[in-house]
Amino acid sequence: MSTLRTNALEGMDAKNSITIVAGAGNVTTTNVQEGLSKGWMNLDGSGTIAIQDSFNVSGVTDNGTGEYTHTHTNAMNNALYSVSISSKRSTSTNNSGSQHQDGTFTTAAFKMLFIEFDNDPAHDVDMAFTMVAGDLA
Amino acid sequence: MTPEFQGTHLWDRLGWAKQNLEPYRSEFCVVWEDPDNLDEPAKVTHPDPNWMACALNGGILPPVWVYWELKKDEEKPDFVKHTRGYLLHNTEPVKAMTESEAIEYLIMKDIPERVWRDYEQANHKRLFVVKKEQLPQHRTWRNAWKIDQQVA
Repeated sequence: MSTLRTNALEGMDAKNSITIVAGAGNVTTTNVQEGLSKGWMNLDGSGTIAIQDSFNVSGVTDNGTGEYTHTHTNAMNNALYSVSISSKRSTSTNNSGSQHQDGTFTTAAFKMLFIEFDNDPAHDVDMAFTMVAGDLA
Repeated sequence: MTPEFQGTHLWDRLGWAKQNLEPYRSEFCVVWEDPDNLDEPAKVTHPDPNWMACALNGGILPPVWVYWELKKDEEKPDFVKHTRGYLLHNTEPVKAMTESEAIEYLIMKDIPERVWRDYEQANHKRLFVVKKEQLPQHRTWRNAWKIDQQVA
């Protein structure tokens, strides 16, 4: 087996698009850029909220209990991108719940809301996690 | 040494910054109220540490007016997708900012214009840059947070 060493790969037809061809008969392909996460955030939601680490995030807005806005540095190309949101349950209130994209969803930002399953109020979370997939502007 | 990034995709620049710059955790944040929704609690915007590192370093982020142009495009009723994304990548990046300048940039990028435009002349004070330690230290009554107009 040989090893390819390089610092950069560039598509020939489009600089930002590389396709991996795999499988018998070259029938299975994977577009590398489509499969990459375009941004993510690890947010400490307890007390004064704080971004622990991230990529492609300019800031986060604390809108109120359990509601935050994640804002991109490199905007998305359209508002049809996908977001995955999860959280660590709060140790102080023992809340568990679901996460929702809520309200604002633009190429620049999206809003998320954490709610309880049982009686539906929004609640703060110890940690919030986001992952963004889609096309960049 | 920061490479010459004009013409490099912004996302790639952020990758370079993540590898080469130390995150900067600002002690400042922005407290604001939306004049169109005064019943809502005060909001607090925090700069991202990696983004702050880019702002302080210079040569990475596009000028803030680029974001305004993209926002204008998105507000058009026939908007489907961005056709001027190249503005993010091809416009000459802004030079190194001070922390204060970076927060001002962030305000104009991430907070609605109706909040920061002419905010100093408004009767109802709606935007302040504060130290994080000035925020309430517990969130029990988070949805009751308002800007104190007496202090303002």
